[in-house]
Amino acid sequence: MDYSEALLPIIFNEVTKHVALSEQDLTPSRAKEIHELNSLYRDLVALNADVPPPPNQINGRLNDQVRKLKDAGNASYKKSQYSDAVRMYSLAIEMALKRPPWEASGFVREELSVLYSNRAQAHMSTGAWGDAMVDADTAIYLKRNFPKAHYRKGKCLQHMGRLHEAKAAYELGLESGGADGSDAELKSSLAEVNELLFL
Amino acid sequence: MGKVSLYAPIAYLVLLISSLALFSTIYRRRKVRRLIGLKPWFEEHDARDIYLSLKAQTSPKVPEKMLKAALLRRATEDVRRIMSLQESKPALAELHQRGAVGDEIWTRFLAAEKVMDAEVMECAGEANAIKAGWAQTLFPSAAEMVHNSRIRDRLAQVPELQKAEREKWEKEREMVVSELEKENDSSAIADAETKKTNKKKK
Repeated sequence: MDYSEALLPIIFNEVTKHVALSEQDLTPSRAKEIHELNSLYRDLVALNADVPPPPNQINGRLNDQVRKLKDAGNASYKKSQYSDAVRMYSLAIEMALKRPPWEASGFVREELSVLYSNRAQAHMSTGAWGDAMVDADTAIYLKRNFPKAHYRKGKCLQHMGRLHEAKAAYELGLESGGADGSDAELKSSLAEVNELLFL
Repeated sequence: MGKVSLYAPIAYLVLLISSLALFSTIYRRRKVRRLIGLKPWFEEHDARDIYLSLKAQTSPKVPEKMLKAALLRRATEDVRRIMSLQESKPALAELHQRGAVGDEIWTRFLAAEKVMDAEVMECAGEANAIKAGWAQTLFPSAAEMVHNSRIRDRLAQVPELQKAEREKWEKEREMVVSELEKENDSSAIADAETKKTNKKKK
């Protein structure tokens, strides 16, 4: 196909190592595309290979860094230093998001879901029910069959007096098909909410 | 029986064939014109345009990794488009069959599918020209990029959602607290009144 008409006067700047397009050719969608391209270029330059490896090859160094931050968060949580724990989990999330975008999204979901679920628990311990609820909900978005995250979401909703939503969260948790030992907690909380709702 | 010229059937045939040919060319030309006039299904393919522009750039020369990044972006947009076509096809086919969607939209959709087939082939060719065999992992990488960008979009909303939930809960709590206080006040007043009446009785 002949694309000569579509060619854009796009320039690679050797100082900034970015590509740029003159104002008159810049549409919003092109601006976004160029921004994404420059960010992908940085990822490729940082990569020690000429093209991205197959998606199932995961960057091990980043794994270790994320795990260290998560362990630090867990340690703070055990010492009842909840706001420190929140900060550590947030740093771990930031670190996990530094993964190059071509790595397997399934792995990314798994890793991040645990971090969000843990941060939800830390928020709950400080009584930040709103923050915790969103974190638990995000953990569920990342991994649907995650009963513990459903349980935490339900607890937050229950504390905020949103009993019908809490009931739905517990029920979803029981139906989610995951197995992380939260079933007993889910069942007893569901019974509790049902009682409060006079069901 | 009058003499029928030998030329009569020949003239008839010539007339018939030429009119059929005329009809067919006009019909085909119109069809092509109609297809050209159709609005494309997708917006402009910016990632592809940027890749081709970078490839054509000679001074200053664009680094190889920038070209690779641009090709990856192009493949990512291809994957996004193919996924969108696949997602809408069953519903659209059903609607078209029932007559709820016109022929023009359906034609545009089928044309978009063909365009995307050609686009993917071309993109794979470019990848193999840069590095032999890259086409095999290019599209899997691109598919993960689509998924990962969706995940990141959702996660980027978290702080905003948390702010909204926090404020909602604060408001709710204040309301509950003030209601409880009111209840306490009114029950205190009631208590005081009963005490008064009790005193009077005494």
